[in-house]
Amino acid sequence: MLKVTDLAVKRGSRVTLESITLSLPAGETLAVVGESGAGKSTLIAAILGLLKPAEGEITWNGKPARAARPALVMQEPRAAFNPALNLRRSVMEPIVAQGVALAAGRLERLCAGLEMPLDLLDRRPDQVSIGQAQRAGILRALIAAPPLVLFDEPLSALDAVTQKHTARLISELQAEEGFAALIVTHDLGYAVAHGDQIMVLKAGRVEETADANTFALTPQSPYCRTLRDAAISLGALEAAA
Amino acid sequence: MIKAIGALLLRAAVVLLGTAILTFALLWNAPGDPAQTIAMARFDALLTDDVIDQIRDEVGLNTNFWHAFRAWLGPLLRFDFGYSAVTGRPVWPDLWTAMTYTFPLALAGLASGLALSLPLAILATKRPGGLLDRTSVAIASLGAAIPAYWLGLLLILLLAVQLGWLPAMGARTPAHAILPAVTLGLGVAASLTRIIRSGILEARGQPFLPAIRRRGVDGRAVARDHIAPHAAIPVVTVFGLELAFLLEGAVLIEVIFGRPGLGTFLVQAILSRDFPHVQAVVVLTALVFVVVNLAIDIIYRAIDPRIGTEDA
Ligand SMILES: Nc1ncnc2c1ncn2[C@@H]1O[C@H](COP(=O)(O)OP(=O)(O)OP(=O)(O)O)[C@@H](O)[C@H]1O
Ligand SMILES: [Mg+2]
Repeated sequence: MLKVTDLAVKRGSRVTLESITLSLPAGETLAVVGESGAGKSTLIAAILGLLKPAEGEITWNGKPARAARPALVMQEPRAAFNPALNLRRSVMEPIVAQGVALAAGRLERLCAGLEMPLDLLDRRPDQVSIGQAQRAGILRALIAAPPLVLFDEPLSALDAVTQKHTARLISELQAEEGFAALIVTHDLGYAVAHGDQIMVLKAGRVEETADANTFALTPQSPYCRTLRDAAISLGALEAAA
Repeated sequence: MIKAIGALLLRAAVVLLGTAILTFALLWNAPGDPAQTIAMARFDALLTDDVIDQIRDEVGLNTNFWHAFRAWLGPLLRFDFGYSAVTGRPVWPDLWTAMTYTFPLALAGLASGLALSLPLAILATKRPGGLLDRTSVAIASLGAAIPAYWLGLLLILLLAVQLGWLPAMGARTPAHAILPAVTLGLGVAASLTRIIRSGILEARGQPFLPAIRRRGVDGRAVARDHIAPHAAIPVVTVFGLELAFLLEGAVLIEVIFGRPGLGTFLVQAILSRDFPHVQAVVVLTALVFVVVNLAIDIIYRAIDPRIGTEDA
């Protein structure tokens, strides 16, 4: 279980996150939504331990969060890889580093789920499309069966069909392996469909946290109502019955 | 890869031809009458016009440019550098002897420079901005500002004259090479330390590193797979430039330490206007540069396969 208690993070002298509290049990998904610059990526960086909390704490089963060896899917797919190495080397790096065995057929299965031909892995990041690099990032995050995965807009560069398949693979794998997933997304429809909870960030603060259905039916704050209505009018979310 | 190396070889050949034309043009247009100088050097007196004309014929100074260029290039392609215009002895054996002094000196300078700068840079980057870091940057900047000849004299004064630990002049024993090599090496280390340091710092800032470290990839693997190759690219670049410094430095240092070698060879050749000797050094230097740069280009491609993929 990932627990964040009363977290505040400063970048330089500016406070970019304040009073963030959340808990994410194993096997569940927390969808984090919020406008650009709200602090979503900052939250992920703090959980990873890349930014020191100014206040509060972040724990995984009572231990510092890094004990979970959290996997990250980066927001910028190309920056996520060593540009000089082929994708296979990068994707396999966690497996090699942790000295775990790769289950037979796992790579093939993940690649199929992500709609990536296996030979794509023999190319370098600059030789694939952004969407392919993004999926390679997801592949690397999931390959060594981590207990906690942080997704920073993992589907942003994918077309609607590939988005759907990729989202399905993530859910299937989560159901089998029980990892906790924190997924930052701009897609409210995706958040409601796949999130157990939804957390809305605004200007570094939690605007609202709710379970997915409650959020879709009865968002509490005015901001969240606007957000929901916008998503409905865009067709990303179905109007509540 | 084979195609890329072929293209690099072709480029190297073009550069060499250009250098050859340029070298010859410079010699052809050099002020003063070389025939006079040769006569002076040979007979130690000004001679009649007849004798000077004879010398002019002998060294091919009487034809037109392209004709003379072809006549000049032919033997060079066979590595035949002709005979000294001053002593009449074949150039190659003397040149070879000079090389056997200078190249080991330059290599020793490079090796000691690397041996000094690599640990220093790694230590400095342990805590960027820390005391050790600032000290090593300051030392390196100071070192880069000090001319090699001054440093050489200083080292002679301290280690040879005052303390008497090392021989200063000549090249009789391997110990004689220590001071010149260290003098060269300190200059190399000054620039390399800064390059390696900033290379390591930049490599450490690569955006994908934190995430893979969190996944259990340890510091050693990160250093080996992600930092060293990235930091090596500017170092390899500097090696090419360093070569110019080394040869130039070696020339000065040989004079200071009274060592035989290409430096002394070249200085004497220029002073006596010994065309074949000067030519030989220039051609050799160009060849070394081209070969080293070729090697550098190939090493680049081995370190980072992206390099050179766009210009096919
Ligand atoms: N390296 C940085 N240094 C200083 N401030 C930063 C830095 N990166 C981001 N910020 C600031 O922190 C705040 C939160 O940024 P963050 O990247 O977390 O936003 P985000 O919610 O992920 O936005 P997006 O949806 O555009 O990715 C923003 O105001 C941003 O300007
Ligand atoms: Mg972001």
